[in-house]
Amino acid sequence: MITLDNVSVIFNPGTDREVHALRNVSLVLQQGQWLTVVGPNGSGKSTLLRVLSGAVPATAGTMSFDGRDFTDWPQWRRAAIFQHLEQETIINLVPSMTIEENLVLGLCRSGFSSFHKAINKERHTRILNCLSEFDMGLEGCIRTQVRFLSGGQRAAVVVARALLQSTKVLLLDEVTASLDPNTAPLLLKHIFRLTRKRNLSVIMVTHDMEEALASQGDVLFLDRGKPAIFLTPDMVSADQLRDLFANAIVQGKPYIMPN
Amino acid sequence: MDLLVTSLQIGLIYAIAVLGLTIAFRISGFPDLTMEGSFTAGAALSAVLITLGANPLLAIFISPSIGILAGTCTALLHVRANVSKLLAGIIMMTVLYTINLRIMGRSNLSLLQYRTVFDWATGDWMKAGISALFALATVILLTFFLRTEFGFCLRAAGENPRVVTASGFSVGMFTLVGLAIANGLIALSGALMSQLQGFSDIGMGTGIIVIAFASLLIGETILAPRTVFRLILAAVLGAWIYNVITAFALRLGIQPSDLKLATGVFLAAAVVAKNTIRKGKTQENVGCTTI
Repeated sequence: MITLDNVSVIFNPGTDREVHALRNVSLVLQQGQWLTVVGPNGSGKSTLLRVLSGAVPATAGTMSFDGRDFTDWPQWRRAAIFQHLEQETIINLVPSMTIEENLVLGLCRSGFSSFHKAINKERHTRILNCLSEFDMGLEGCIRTQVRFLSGGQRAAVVVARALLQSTKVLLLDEVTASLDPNTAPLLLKHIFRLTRKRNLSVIMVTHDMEEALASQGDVLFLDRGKPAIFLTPDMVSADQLRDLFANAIVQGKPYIMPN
Repeated sequence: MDLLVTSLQIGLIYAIAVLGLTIAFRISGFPDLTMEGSFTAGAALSAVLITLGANPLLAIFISPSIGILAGTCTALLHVRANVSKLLAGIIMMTVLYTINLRIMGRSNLSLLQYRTVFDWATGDWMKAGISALFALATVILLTFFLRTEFGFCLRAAGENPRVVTASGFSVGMFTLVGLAIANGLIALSGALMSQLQGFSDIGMGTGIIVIAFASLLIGETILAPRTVFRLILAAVLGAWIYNVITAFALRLGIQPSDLKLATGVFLAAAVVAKNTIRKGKTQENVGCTTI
């Protein structure tokens, strides 16, 4: 269970470029829960994911996982809980390494055991099994360098690594935004199925109403860094989401995001 | 025949330095200038140990330690103190110049009156065999090391540190180990070179980066390595071919003092040619493209 208690993120505090990216966000995410985060540009959706993964420090508030406070943990330590997947999937991969080598990275251990051979028979089988679940034919080309894969295939490899790593929470930041209209729903369908099968929690940021509905999870609407509306799956409709966006954009004033 | 055996003796020793450069430049993604200093440092330490009466083989095994130390310092400057990669290398290279002078006590140390590992050889071919033995041992150890989980993380940390962080490791440690290994190998190469040539000189590391990088480029052009093992082979092959070329150049009448100019021009031409040929094509070689 992930608990956020009054988490705020302020960029450039005390300067004339001060931006309140998140304002006192409190939320609880149960194991296995799917939370879709929507909202206009600059509403703090991506910052919410980045503060969880540790890429951005929280200015105030506390965060905990199953009662353990991880607010001060460095990013690498949080990797055991969170896997943050971004739109440009190649930045989550090592370009000149093969699919298999990239996936093995998710299985590497620390200490003396890290001097064992990285790819062995058991891991090879595990990787093949994991890839076959995506139904994209990736298991046939595990010795291909990932830089030669298509966007959809790269995304599948990144998700596969997160699954192999037995992460607890997947943070998906518009992972399908750069994919074609055929691949995007296919990849999401696999992510839905595989995360439910493993009872993983997911926080997904999207601009796509259809995706938000298709995920059949709870929907959180962020407005200017604050959770504005929380909708359970039975309350969500496409019209309602459209209305929310229309109102927020009219009321909200544009943000200038820091680099 | 003469040329072949000399190029093997020297080339296979340089191969160890080229492997060090490969670890830093291609695997760790760190264009490390420390090597200019650590090559001389290895040579200096080994030479001094021999003059103090140490066993030459022992001197060779001890000398990488100074390279490891130098590499660690460079990595710490970058990782802990946020000094940029280039500047960290420049600082250590400069610091090592004084340290090397202090180690040797003067700018040149002759080993002609002392026994070296190459004195155990009865002929020139056996000397080449001793060089080959050290190069082979380095190749085997590196191949195994880079196949371990740690080796995989080392590669990933060089090319895309985010992935290593996402796998639950701190990137700094891999930079540190990568540079320590790289400079350790360079120092080992320097130690062997001083024993082969029978002297250690304060200027013997000058230009080692250009020489090693030119060698690596030659090897990469021939083998187009898409696996780490082939990258290692490319380093060794490139070092040998580079030495054949320089031996030929010397025979054709190029003055030894002009050799560095020739190497510089050669490297620049090789890089320009590579970039022109590769224009528009996806890079396929394994490892980082730091330079």
